[in-house]
Amino acid sequence: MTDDQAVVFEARGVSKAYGTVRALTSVDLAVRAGQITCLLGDNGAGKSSLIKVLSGVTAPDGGTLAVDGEPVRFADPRDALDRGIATVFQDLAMVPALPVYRNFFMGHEPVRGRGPLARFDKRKARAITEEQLASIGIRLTDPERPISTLSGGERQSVAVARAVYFGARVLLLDEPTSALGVRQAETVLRYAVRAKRQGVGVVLITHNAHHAWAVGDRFVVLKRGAVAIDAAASDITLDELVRHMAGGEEVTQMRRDLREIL
Amino acid sequence: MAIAHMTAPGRRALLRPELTAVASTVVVFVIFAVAGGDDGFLSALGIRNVFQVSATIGIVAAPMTLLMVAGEFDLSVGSTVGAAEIVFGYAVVHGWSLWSALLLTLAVCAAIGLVNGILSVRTSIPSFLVTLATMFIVAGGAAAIANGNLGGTTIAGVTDALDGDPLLSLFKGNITDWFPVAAAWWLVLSVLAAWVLGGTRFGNWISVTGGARASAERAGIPVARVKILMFVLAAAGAGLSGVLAALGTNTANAADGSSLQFEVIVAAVIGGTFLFGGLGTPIGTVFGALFFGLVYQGFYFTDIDTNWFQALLGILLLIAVTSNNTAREFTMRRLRDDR
Repeated sequence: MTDDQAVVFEARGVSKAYGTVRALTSVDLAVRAGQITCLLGDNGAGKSSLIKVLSGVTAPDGGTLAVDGEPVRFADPRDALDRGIATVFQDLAMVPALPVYRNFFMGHEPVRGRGPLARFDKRKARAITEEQLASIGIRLTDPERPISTLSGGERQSVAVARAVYFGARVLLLDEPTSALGVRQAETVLRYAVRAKRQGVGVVLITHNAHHAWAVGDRFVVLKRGAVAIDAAASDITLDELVRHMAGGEEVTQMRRDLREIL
Repeated sequence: MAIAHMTAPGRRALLRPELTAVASTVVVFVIFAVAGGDDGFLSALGIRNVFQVSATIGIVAAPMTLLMVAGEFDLSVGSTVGAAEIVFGYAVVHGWSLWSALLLTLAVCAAIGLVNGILSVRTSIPSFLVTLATMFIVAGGAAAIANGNLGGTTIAGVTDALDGDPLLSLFKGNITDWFPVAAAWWLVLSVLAAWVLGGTRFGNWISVTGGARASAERAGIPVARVKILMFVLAAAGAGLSGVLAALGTNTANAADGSSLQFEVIVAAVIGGTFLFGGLGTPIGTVFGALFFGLVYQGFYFTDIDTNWFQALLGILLLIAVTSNNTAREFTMRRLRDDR
């Protein structure tokens, strides 16, 4: 794939340690507008440490983050959001019992009138929510329906739609497909592609190489807190990707060990 | 099943959290109307008393519902009622006018709420424990201060001291012979609370604060301030309830309201409010408070030994709360299956 799109968000030599445990060692990551960058790695490879740094949850010990080439320091996720870096966390940050539109607009409610008791313009909120969801193929029969009655894939898609609607330039998707079946994972991936086509720089964090391969433009594999692979889709095959993710020689060794036991 | 074929408004009615509260209240009303209707339960005075008892609970329960939606509890509202009565009574028998004594009382209560709020939000101690502690502090403090200054924990002649005060009719007596003025406060405050929760931006902040705190913070909602304000409102509701009670009986009593916190919280739960935040309806709570009023008053018009009262109350509460949960789970499951 093309590497000529502008880098909108970048990690340069980011390091992070928890006590004596080095979670990240000098990690570079470039997020380009209109591309899906897949961040892969086994459990414990440093994926969650990196997403915490990128989303503003924690500050890196070393290295810098840059938005549009300009170094930034995030105080908290809200700060990152103000810069256009939106994260869809695994918990999705939804209130299950509230209607979809109330979740969609949380903290960004359209209002009529002024002051702290400004009226929540529910008609507008419902109309926009319905329109946004219709564009990703979710039809709401009843706008007052609690979001907990949507399927897992649909809730993920709502979370992504919300981030894009509120102006995300970079979307960090934290394991969006890990708890989903094939059909539902497809819904979410399709929406990640749609966000990319709208010019959003998408980072898809996953340990499923097949999901990544289906939509990724660029693949970054983390191993023991460092970048092991950073390759465009045209420079790597799915087999290579799977082998690197699984740890290459380590897997061969594991197979040998298991065979001896069995 | 049938829900799949129902129209949107039909499904919505089933999803209303207050649905079972309305049903429970109607059932309780019918039971006592049959059992005690001939003995005065259905008389103007009987109905007035139902409303009076419901209002005492409901005026505190309306802001408590918002506090619970915001994900917190306040167990100190009961002792705050007693403290409010002492503050208000002490002021008026020393010549304060109604409005100035009312403002003083509300300010003292708001300060109690502020302490509850700040302690709950700034420490990691659950509000259940923080307000359990302030419940004892406020109750003990009010009784001791009253006893030290007045030689007793009650103040007589509260209403008499305000004879001729132009505002007195707003806080005492009846609008008609079956509808006390306290009930008007209760209904107006409940409708106001419902409007704030359902109709304003701030209301959505309350729900999100209690339902998904982390994401509320990420969305820029001032979670701590929302919670603290709700604690202040709950305490102020207790203050108004105490003032109305003192004026109704002509006596301020530090021991009044000593178990009100349970009735208030249970009224909200019967009305469909989640115990763990994120969902609740002040209109449902109106029916929860009415449920209490009907049971308390209705019981005395039946032939049942009054010793059974608490046991019966407990059984009725279990039935009401269980049917609430069952109805909700059933509806949610059906809605999910529809998709």
